[in-house]
Amino acid sequence: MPIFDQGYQHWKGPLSGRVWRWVTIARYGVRVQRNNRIVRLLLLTAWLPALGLIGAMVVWGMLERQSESLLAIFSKFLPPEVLQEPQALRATMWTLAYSIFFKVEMYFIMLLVAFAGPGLISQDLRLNALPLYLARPLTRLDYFLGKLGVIGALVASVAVIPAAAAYLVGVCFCLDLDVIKDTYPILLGSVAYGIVITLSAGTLILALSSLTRRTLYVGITWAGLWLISAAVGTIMTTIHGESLRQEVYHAESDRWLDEHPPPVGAKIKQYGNHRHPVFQNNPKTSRLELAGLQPAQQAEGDRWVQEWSRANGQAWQKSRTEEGAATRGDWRPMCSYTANLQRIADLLLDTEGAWITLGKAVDQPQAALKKSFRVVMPANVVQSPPGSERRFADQFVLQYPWWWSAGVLAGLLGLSTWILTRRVKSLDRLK
Amino acid sequence: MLFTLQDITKTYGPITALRQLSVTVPAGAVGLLGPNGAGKTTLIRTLLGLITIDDGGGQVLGMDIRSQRLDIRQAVGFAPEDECLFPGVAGVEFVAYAGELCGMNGKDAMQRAHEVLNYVALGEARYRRVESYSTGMKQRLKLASAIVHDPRLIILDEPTNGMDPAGRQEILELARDLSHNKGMSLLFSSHLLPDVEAVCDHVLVLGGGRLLAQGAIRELKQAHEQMFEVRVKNDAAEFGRRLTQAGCGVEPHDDLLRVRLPREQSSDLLWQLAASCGEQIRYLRPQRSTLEEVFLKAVETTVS
Repeated sequence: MPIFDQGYQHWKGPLSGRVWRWVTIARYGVRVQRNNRIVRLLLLTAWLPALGLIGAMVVWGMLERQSESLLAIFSKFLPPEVLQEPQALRATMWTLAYSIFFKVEMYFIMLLVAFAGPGLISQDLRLNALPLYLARPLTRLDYFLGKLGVIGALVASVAVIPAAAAYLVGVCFCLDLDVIKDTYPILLGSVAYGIVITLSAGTLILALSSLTRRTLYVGITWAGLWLISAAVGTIMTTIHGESLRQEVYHAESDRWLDEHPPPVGAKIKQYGNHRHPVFQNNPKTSRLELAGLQPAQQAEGDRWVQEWSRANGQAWQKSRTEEGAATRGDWRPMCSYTANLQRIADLLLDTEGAWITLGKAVDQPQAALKKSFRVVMPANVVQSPPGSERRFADQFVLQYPWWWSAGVLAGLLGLSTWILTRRVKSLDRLK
Repeated sequence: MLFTLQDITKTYGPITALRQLSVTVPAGAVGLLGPNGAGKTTLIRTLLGLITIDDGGGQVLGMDIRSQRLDIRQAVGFAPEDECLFPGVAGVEFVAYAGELCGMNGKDAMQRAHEVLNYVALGEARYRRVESYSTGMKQRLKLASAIVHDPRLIILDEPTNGMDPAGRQEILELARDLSHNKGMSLLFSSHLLPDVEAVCDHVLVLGGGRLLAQGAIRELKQAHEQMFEVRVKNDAAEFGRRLTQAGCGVEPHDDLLRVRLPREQSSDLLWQLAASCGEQIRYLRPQRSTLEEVFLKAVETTVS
C-alpha cells in the first residue's frame, strides 16, 4: 500500500479577479503571434520609421542647441529668424514629424493586422475552441476584449511605444523642461490615435475573422478593404479634382477669349466645349507664334499672346483655388479606410495648425518641401494663393470636416460590434 | 445536492431539446444516459449557463443557473464531447492556459498543468503541439484541462468517444478515481450503458428531452428474479394456461409471455411443461433489468 499517493492532488491557490481574464487571453494571443515569422519581421521593420522619428527629434534638439552643421543645412529651407530661435517652432516641427511618422507607420499597422488579425477568431472557430473559452468563468466581453488586446498590443508596439520613445529622446535632447509643457499634447494625441486605430481596425478584423473558419479569406478581405478602398478613394478624388479644375480653367479661359478676341485671322481651335488659340513654330525666330496671322500682324499677335499667357496663368490659379475650396466639402477621400484614420490623426495631433504655423513662418519655394515630403502628399494636391498661410495645410491635410471620418469609423465600429455579437452570441450557434 | 432543475425547457427552432425537465441529483458520481438526441449535451450546457433556456430554473452546487453562471463555471470543470483545441500551443501550455482562464496565476497554472498531465498519463507528450495528438490523447488533454483548477464538479461529455478499448478503460478508471477517491462529484454523460455502469453510482436516463428514469444504478440494475420472456411455436394461450396452473404468474406481451416462476423453481419448469403439452419453445431469456429496459425505451422514444 503506497504511503504517499502521487496521483491527483487538490489545489487551493489564489485566483485573480474576473476583471483581468481578458488580459490572459490577450497575453496568450500575443504569445501565439510571436511564433509567426512574418509578424516578427514586420514588428522589426516597423521600427525603421520610428528610428526616423527619433532622428528627427534628435536633429531638432541639436538645432535648438545651435549645432553649426545643422544650421548650415537648414539655412536653405528655413529663414534666419527661425534658425535663431528654433524653440518657437518646436511644437510645430514635432507635430509634423509625428504626423509623417504615423502616415508611414499606417502601412505597417495595416500589414500587421492583415497577418495577425485573421486567425484571432477564425482559428478558434475552426478548432472549436469557443466551448473551451465559454465553459470557463469568463464572458463573451472578456473574450472580445482579450482578442482586441492582441491588436492593441501590436499597434502599441509599432506606433505608440515608438512615439513615446521618440518623445522621451526629444525631451532629453532639448535639455529644457518647457518642452514638456509645449509638446505634451503630441504625446497624448499619439496615445489617443493608437487607441482609435486599435478600436477601429481591431473590431473590424475581429468581425471579419468571426465570419469564416478560413483565415486566408479574412486576410484577403482585409487587404481588399485597405488597398481597394484606398485606390477607389484616390481615383475618385483625383478624377473629381481634375474635372473641377479643368471646368473652372476652361470657363475662365473662354470668358477671357470672349472679352479679348485675338487679332483678325488668328486661328482658334475648338476642343469640345472650350477654345484654345493655335500656335505654330517660327523656324526663323524659333518662337511659338499665333497661327493664321499676317507678318504685319505679328507684333499685335505677340502682345495678345502675352496677355493671353497672363490670363491663362490666372485662370489656372483660380482653378486650383476653387479646387482647394471644394475639398473642404469633398466626401470622396472618405472612401479610403486609411484616409479616415488619417483624418482623425490630423485632428488629434492638430496637424493643420502646425502646417499653418509653418506657412506663416516660412517663405521658401514649395518645391523644397514638396521634394522632401513627396511620399506623403495626398492625391488631391491643391494650391492656395502664394503667400497664403494655408498653402501647406491645404496640400498636406485632408480638408473635409473631421466628424465625417469620425462618423464613418463609428459606423464601422457599430457594424463590427453587431457582427461580433451575432456571431458569438451563444453556443446555440456554434458547431 | 449536486444540482436541481425545475421545469427546464429548451427549443432549437422546431426541435424541443428539453421538455419541462425537473430533476434533483445527489452529490457523487452521476451518469447521464440516453441515446443520441436525448438532450444530454443540452442539459450539460444548461447547467453551465452556456445556452439560454426558454423556461425553468435550477441550481448547481447551490448556485442559480441564471444569475450565477460565472460562479458555477468557476466551480465546474467541463470536458466537451467535440474535439476542442486552443490553436498553436503544446500540451502543457494548453492546460496551463485553461487554468489561467479560471483565474490561476501563470506560475501556479504551469505547475498544476504538469501535475495533471502526469495524472492523466500525458507526461511524455506534454511538449508536443496539441494538433499532433491522437484522439485518445486529446480526450486525456480535455480531462486534464477540466481538472487543472481543482473543480468541485467535473462534467465529462462522451469522454470515451473514438477511443480504443485500452484508452477507454483508462479514461473510465481516471473518472472513477476522481469521483470515488478524490472527493469530486462527477457528471458522466454517455450513450454507452457499460461506461456509465463502470463509473457511476447514480444515473439519469433521458429520452426525447424528458427524464425517463432516475435512481441508484445498483437498484435499477437488479435483474427481475425469476422473470422470463418466452415465445412458443404453437398455442401461446394454452401454454400460458398451463403455466398458470403450475403456479406461475403469466403476462402476455405482444407475441411473448412474461412469466414469473415460483421462488423455488428454475427455468427447467418451462421446458418440462412445454414437453408435457407438446409445445416447442422458440425463445427464452431472463427479463432485462429495469435500467436496460428504460434505456431501450428511451431509444425507441427518440427514434419514433
